Amino acid sequence: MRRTARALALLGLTASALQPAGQALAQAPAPGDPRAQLRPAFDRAVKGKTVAWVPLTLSTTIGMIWTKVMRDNFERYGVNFVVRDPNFSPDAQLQAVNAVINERPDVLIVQNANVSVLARPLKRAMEAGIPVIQVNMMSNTATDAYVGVDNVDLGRKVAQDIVRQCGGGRSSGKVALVQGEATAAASLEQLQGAMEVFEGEPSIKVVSSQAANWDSNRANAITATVLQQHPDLCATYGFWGTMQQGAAQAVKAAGLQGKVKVYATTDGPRADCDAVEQGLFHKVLSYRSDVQGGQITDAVLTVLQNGAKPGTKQLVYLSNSYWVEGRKDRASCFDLDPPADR
Amino acid sequence: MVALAAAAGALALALTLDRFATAGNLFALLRSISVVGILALGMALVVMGRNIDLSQVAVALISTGAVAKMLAAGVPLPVALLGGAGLALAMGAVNAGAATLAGIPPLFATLATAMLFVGLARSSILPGASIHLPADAGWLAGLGGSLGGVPVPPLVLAACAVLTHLFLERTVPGRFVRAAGINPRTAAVVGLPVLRTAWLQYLVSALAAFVAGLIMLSSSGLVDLQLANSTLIFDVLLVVVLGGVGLSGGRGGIFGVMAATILVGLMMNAMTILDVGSQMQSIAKGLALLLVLLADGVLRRGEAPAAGI
Repeated sequence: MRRTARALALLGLTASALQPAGQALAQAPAPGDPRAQLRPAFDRAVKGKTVAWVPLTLSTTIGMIWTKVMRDNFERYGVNFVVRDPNFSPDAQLQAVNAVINERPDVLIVQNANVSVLARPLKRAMEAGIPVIQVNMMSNTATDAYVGVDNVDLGRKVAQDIVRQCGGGRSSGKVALVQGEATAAASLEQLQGAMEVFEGEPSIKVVSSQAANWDSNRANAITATVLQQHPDLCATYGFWGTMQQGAAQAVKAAGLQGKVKVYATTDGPRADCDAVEQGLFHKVLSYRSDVQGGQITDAVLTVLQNGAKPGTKQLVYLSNSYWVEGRKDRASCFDLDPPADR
Repeated sequence: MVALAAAAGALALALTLDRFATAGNLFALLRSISVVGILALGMALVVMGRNIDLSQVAVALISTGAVAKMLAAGVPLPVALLGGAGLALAMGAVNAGAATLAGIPPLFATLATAMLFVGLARSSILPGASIHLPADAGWLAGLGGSLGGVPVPPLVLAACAVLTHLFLERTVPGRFVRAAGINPRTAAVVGLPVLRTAWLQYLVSALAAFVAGLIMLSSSGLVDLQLANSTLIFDVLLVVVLGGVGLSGGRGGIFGVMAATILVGLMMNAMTILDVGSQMQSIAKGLALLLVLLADGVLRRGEAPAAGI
C-alpha cells in the first residue's frame, strides 16, 4: 500500500518533470524522435538523385510550363534534372530515351508521342531498375506512375457548357468544332467526349468539324469560311487555346465578337487568359500544366521514397480542369516569362 | 490549263453549293489563300531560276516573330518593321550563300538553313513558341482586317503578284532569272550574272516570306514557331508546281501561279463548306499534285530532268 502511494507520487513527479521537457522536444527534437528523421530521411531519398525528362518538345507552351515548374521544384530539393528535347520527332525521342536509360537515372519521365513507340524502352528501363513516370498519354506499357488529363472528360465538359449556352432553342444551336491533328489522341478523345454530348442533344447541330492541325492560321481560315456559311453560328470549340486564337480573330473580323461564343481547352499559358479578358474567348477550360508540373514532381518524390520495385505498382495522378471566365481567374494562368512591369 | 480548271471548278461549285457564290464567301476564300499565294510568288521566282527555298516558312515566322517581340518591347512600328525586313533579308542572304557559294544543292542547303534559323532564333531572341501581337500594334493590326468591306490580305497578294509579274517580264534582272533557269551554264558562258541572279531570287523569296508572315501575324494575332515543322511549305510548292512552274526551271509565269492559288483555295473552301474529313482533304490535294506532275511529265517528255534539286 505504502509502496503504491510512493510509486504514484513518483509518477506525478516524473509527469510534472516531463512537462517542460515535452515542450522543449517540440523545439529541438532529440535524436530517435520520429520527427527528427523527417528531413534527413527525405534528403537521403531525394537529394542528389538524378531525374531524366524526355518530353515531346520543349517548344510548345505545355512543354515549357511543365519543365519550368519541375526544374524549379527539383532545384529546391537538390535533385539533378536532365532534359532531352527531341523536338517533336518520335525517332529522336526513341534515341533520347534509349540513351538516357543507359545513363541510369534514378527516375525517368516521358511524354509519349503515341501509344507504341516507347512501349519497349520503358519496359527495359523498369527491368533495369529505373522507375518510369508517363505524362499526358499512357503507352501500351503501364509504368510506376501516370500524370495526365482525361481528354474525353474535357470534351464532355465543354460540350455540356455549350449545350447550356446554345441548346434548347436558345439559339440556332449551330456549333463548329476546330480539331487539332485529326489523328492525335488529345484531339480524338476531346472529339469523342464532345460528340457524346452533342449527339444526345437534338437542339444542337454540329455544322463543321475540321482539323486545323494545331495551326492558328488554319483555324482562322476554316472559321472565316464557316462563318460565311453560318453567320448565326452559336459557338465554336477549338481543341487547343493557341490554335483557337486564330478562330477568335476570324470571329472578331466578321464583326461577331460576343455573338459567336468562342470556346477552347487550354494548357494554361497567360495569352489564353488575356484573350478571355479581351472578350476574344467566351471561356476556356484549362487543365493547368503548371499544376501538372507539380503533380509530376510529387510522383517523382513518391517513387523515390517508396522504394517499390519498378513496375510493381501503377499510381495515377489525374489532372483536374478549371474554367477561366474572366479577370477573376487570372491566377489559373501561367506566365512563362514574367514581364517586369506586371 | 490550270486557269481553266479553276474557272470550271468555281462555276460547278457556284451551281451546286449553297452560299458559295456570295461576296462574303469569295472574300473568305481569297483571304484564306493570301499567305500561301504570297509565299508562292517568292517561291515561283526561285524555282524558275532552277533553285528551291525550303526555309521560306521559317523565315516568315522568325522575321515577323521578331517584329511582334520588338513591338511588345515598345519599339516604334516603322523601326520594328525595318528590323524584321532586315532579319528576313539576312536569312535570305545566308540561303543564297549556302546554295551558290558552297555549291550545296539548294534543296539540302535550304532544308539545313531552315533548321539552323529556327534553332538560332529559339535559343536567342524568340525562346517562346508563340509570340503574340500586342493590342496596340497600329496599322499592322489592320493588315489582317478589311478596308471598306474588302479584306486587306488579298489586296496585298494582288499588289505583290503585279509587282512580281512586272519584275519578271519587264526588267532586265527579271528576265535573267528565267534565262538562268533554262540553262545556267549557257547563261554563264554568254555572260549573264548567274550568281547575282540567284542571290536576287533568294532575297526576293525572303522578302515575300516577310510580307506573308506579317499577314499571318495580323490575321491570327500570333506567330507560332511550331509552324516551321508544318506542311505549309509543301502547300506553297503544290501551288507553284500546279501553276506550271516546272521544277526543272525556266518555265511558268505569275498568271499560272495565281490561277493555281485560286484553284487550291477553291478546293479547300469547298471541302470546308462540305465539312470533308481531313484524310479526304489530303487525298484530294495529293491526287491533284500527282495528276499535274503526270501531265507535266507526259507533255514534256524528253526534256532534261530537274537539275540541282
